[in-house]
Amino acid sequence: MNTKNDQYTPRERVHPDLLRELLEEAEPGNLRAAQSVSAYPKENMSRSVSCPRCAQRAEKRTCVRSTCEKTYCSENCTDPKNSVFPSLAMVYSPVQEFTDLYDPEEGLCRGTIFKQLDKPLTVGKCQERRWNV
Amino acid sequence: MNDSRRKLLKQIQILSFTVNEAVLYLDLHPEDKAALAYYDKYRNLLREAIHSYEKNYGPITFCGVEAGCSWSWVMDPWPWEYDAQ
Repeated sequence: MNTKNDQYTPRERVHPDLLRELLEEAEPGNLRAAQSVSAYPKENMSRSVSCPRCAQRAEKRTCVRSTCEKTYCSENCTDPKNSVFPSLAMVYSPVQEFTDLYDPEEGLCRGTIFKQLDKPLTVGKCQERRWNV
Repeated sequence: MNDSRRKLLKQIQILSFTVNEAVLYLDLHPEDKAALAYYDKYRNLLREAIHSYEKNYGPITFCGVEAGCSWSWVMDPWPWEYDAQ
């Protein structure tokens, strides 16, 4: 399926308002965001400031976003495209083929006629569950 | 409900689930020859099963009601009454 959106990166597909919201949430000092971004290095408040992106020693080069006071080590690291902020997920699923079918009776039992889609949860309490149709 | 009636109902349940699955697949792959043949095969079997059931035991949906001298749709035991019979 070709849509005109295909020429955009995942980031570009996100509505600018939503993106702004996500970026603002990830500001340092916002505890909730800091916890949710595990890859976010702790701010180093001593004289040797390290780049929050690559952990290298940072020069005095600040983030391109005016509200951000972080210091990054190189031009490359200030590029918003290399941001450490939570990346937005992109999902890929292969195209399903009409193959590997259960016979109808078993299909009803399993809840699908496609063996490839029959993925019962087998952890925790789901393990105990037995389907008897 | 007697055994053959129950069996036929179960068969209808199985077949209509199968047809439904084929329909969901065809929604995304409308040109798939194998899926089309599969759909056709099971739709026909479903039709036959429903026809056979309705001929012997009465309508499954109200579209299966043969309007005679009485409205058979309300005559059958309701689903929750089957086991009491």
